Amino acid sequence: MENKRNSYGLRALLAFLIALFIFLSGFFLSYTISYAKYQSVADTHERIRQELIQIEFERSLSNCDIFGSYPLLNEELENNGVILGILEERFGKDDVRILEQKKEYSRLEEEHFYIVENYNLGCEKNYTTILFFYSNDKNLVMDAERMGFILGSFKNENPSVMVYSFDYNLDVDAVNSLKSAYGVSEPNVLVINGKTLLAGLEDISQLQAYVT
Amino acid sequence: MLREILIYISAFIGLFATTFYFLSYYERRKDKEPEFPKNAPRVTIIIPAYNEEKGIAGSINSALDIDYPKELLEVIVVDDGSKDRTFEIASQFKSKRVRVFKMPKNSGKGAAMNFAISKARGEVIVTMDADNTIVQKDALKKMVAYFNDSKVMCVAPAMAIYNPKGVLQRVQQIEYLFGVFLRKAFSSMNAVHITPGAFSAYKKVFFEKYGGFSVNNLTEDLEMALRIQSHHFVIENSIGSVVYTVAPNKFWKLLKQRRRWYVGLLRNLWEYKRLFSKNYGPLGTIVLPVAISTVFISIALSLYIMVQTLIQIKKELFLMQGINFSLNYLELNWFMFERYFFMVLSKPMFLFAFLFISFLIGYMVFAKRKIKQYSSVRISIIFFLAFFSFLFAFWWIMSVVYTIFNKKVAWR
Repeated sequence: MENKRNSYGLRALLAFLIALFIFLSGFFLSYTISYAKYQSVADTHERIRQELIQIEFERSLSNCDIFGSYPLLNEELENNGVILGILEERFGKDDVRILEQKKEYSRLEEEHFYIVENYNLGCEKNYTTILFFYSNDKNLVMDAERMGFILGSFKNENPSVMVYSFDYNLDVDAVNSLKSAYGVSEPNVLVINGKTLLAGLEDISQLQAYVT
Repeated sequence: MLREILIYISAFIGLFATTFYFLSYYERRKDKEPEFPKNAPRVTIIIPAYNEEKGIAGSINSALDIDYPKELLEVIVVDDGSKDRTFEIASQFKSKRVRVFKMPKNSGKGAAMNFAISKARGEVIVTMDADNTIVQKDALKKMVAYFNDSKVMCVAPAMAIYNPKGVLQRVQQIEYLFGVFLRKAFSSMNAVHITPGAFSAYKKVFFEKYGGFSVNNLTEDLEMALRIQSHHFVIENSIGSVVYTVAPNKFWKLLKQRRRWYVGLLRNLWEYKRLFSKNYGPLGTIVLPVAISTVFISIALSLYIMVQTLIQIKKELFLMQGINFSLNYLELNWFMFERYFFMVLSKPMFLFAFLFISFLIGYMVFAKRKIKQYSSVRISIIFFLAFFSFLFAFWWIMSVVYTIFNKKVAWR
């Protein structure tokens, strides 16, 4: 009887250790997957940066089919933005690595925006550009989410629309210079085609007038 | 955040319990099934019945069909004051081996069984349900063999659902198959605490010494199992003895059955709360605490998820309003799928969910090897994964409310 009791105690201890190992492995595996994704985002940013340099060079040679060689660039950039949002949730808003990639992403978006603006002028194209300065503050995040949702749907309906989302509170030159250039002094604001400031977007119909 | 904490606590408890049960089963996996004794005991199968005119004949036939020395097997049917033709139909089977009695008035299953026990000639008493219970021919011999051990007072079979049709019966099919492994694992450490009323065998001496079934108890079979455990006797599981039962196929019928079971379980566990002690080995320190904590975590999680879902629906309506409820926000491309897979694989709770589904499949493979299935298990697993957790939470929430407010629960 004593042996059976000891054996059940040992069995319970073994079960606890095995369960703990599996449990911690689950967290380790998910962390590893998240970190691998972070690496992939960083690598993609590097590649996009090279592609944007190439695109700007071609545009300067009056090439009016600048996105032809890089058909997935716009989607990849947008995809990275979404993944950064997920990684921010996983690792936390103040994670140094995530902050660095957010800043890099903002720089790439700014570069892309200026390329498209010059492209519109130089090649008489009609891409609609929308700069979206959102806030993650507790009191403002719900409105920001709605605005982002409307912009996402609007972009899906209108492929010639380019949406660039910036964290209003991110302290990086790209964001600060754009805010200064377009007079953005509060979050949850849109800058449409570099001219019109629109705050309090509540309905997709408010954007229809800006599609050319 | 609260949801995550509850999920991870639940996941750890589940991982620990599953590992412990598996190790317990593994330790005794090579134990040979005991041999049928040369001096086989006399067996009395008692079938209490109330308004079972549809199923009584099938159950009596199944009992008579059992492979057991005919001179050592008798059947006692007790009609518990039925208002239909149950007694008339049962009476057609009267013979030397089948005795049929009628209670003067409806007195409850416990009282009916105790009456039958007082008339029984057998040293082993087998309780059997009257509603179309189908017993594998060799089940009884295998169960009786376990009584060679003097400490064994009860033997439970492996239960399965007979020919499940429809979503509800298929969900129960998987639930019962899940139970095949669990009951065997529990018996390997003498922690069986629920014996199926549909077909379980008891030594008559236990009733003589410790009393018959509890009268007016919602789950008299469960109370008996806890009573046996409380006296430090053994309840074995004969996994090779397969008994099929017909599961409820309507939502309200199933709800009534589960409400009775779970309210009965809670009330009986409260009566036998002394079992939650190291004096009762793994039953008291692991099996019962895990069962209770799983129930309450499931209830807390379900209520939390329900509230969160309502909040999420409100939020979705708020968002969709801004795009006039158009579906254009959906963007189906490779990137979307890639993001979705990343979101799933990067959260530990989803990894644990995959792990538990693997355990479930393992239990199914184990049970399928032991029990013939009359219906495809693959389709049933899909229904089980889709609906069981909601049903489980719903049944338990209702049962806890009934228990706390001491509401009356009818048998039917």
